[in-house]
Amino acid sequence: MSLSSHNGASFRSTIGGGQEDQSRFEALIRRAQKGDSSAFGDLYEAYLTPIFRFILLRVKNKADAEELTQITFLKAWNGMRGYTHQGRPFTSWLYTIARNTVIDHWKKKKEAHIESNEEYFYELRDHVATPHEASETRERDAALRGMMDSLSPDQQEIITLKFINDLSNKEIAEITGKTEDAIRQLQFRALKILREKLKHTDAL
Amino acid sequence: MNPHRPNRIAPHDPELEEFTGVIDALKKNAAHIEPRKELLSEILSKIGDTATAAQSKTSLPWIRVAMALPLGVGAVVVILAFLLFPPKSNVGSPLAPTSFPAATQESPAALEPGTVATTKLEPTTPRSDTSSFSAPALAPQVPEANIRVTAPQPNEEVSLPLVIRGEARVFESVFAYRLRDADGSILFEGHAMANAPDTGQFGPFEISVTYLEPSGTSGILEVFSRSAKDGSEINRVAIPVRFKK
Repeated sequence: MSLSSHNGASFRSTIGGGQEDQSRFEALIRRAQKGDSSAFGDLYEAYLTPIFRFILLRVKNKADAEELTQITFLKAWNGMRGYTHQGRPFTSWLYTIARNTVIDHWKKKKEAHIESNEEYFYELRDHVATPHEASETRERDAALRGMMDSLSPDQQEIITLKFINDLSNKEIAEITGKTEDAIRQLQFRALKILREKLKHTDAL
Repeated sequence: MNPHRPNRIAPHDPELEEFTGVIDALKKNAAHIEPRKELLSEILSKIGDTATAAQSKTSLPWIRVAMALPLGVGAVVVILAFLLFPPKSNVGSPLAPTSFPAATQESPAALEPGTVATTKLEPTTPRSDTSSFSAPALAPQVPEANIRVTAPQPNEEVSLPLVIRGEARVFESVFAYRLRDADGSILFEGHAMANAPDTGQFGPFEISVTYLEPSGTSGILEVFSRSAKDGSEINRVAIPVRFKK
């Protein structure tokens, strides 16, 4: 599989949602654990966009998000041998690394909590070529920012993991250390806030 | 989106049906977030040999070679070191206190009195060299420590690959490790899981890691866990090490 192609699109298309694909995905993880470097590359490719989205929505700054994404994957590379002996699901393990990397970043840079007014999610895709598409992307960026800003940091994290990263409550519990009940409650409160907010906008 | 399980949440969870509009809006508005397409090759380049940085497509086979070389060299060095200097002579050699000032300075949190546990040794294998390390903040022994590291020993001379051995009694058996050099630069970081038989019991671990080239001769290895409550670093064990040149 080509590594630099289409932001992982080729890999995502080969790993779909079916049972067979899930098995192939797990086989890939086993190969990576045994030190198969091409399997590592495929895993990075598959996880790069979701991990980047998660980190960007946490730190709200593109440059920091790129750096922290790099750190996350380098940590994963270094930890993979240790991971071989674990029974923990790979997805939760990788997101936990990403989450801890973000927490460390916040500790080092407390001012990161002071958000700027710059656009922070906005990232043009390669194929966004026309002014119309660019403008639409900016609108979505602003809408997402508006939605996230109305939530507490805890709610933002749960909502991101659940609906943008499509993780299960069980996986989110493994990653955040919260109980599934607590996650469900945070999720419902956040969804109610967002629904109220969207009633007053044209975002829907 | 999670690549291997796309769109599995909203349509299948009846509890969330009333929020379908909100969830769709979230997904739609986040769909444009993509990393720069160069980011993947940048990460792979950093993992592999920097010499092959520009060749992202062909760099992967080189990653294995790049990682295998230092591992192989490290193994030979370790074997030679064992042949030339039996473990006994290493244990007896004290390290001058001045050989570790920078790491102390750069890692104040790791060396706060009372927060740091040195290696918890087995009672049957007492060692004399722990007393030779004179960093004031390293508490001599913390019997109730939840993480115990038996290798490397304080002030041990380490080389590639660095084997970290010990046992841990921590939340979900997950612990983290980090090596810094004298400049405070992180040479590696990672997470692993101790093989604990049950909750609340110690589980052994053994990790073998490679690290980046240190800038000085001394460093500090930290093994710790994270608070399930707030993610802060707890149960930290800090072990000063010397890098084999």
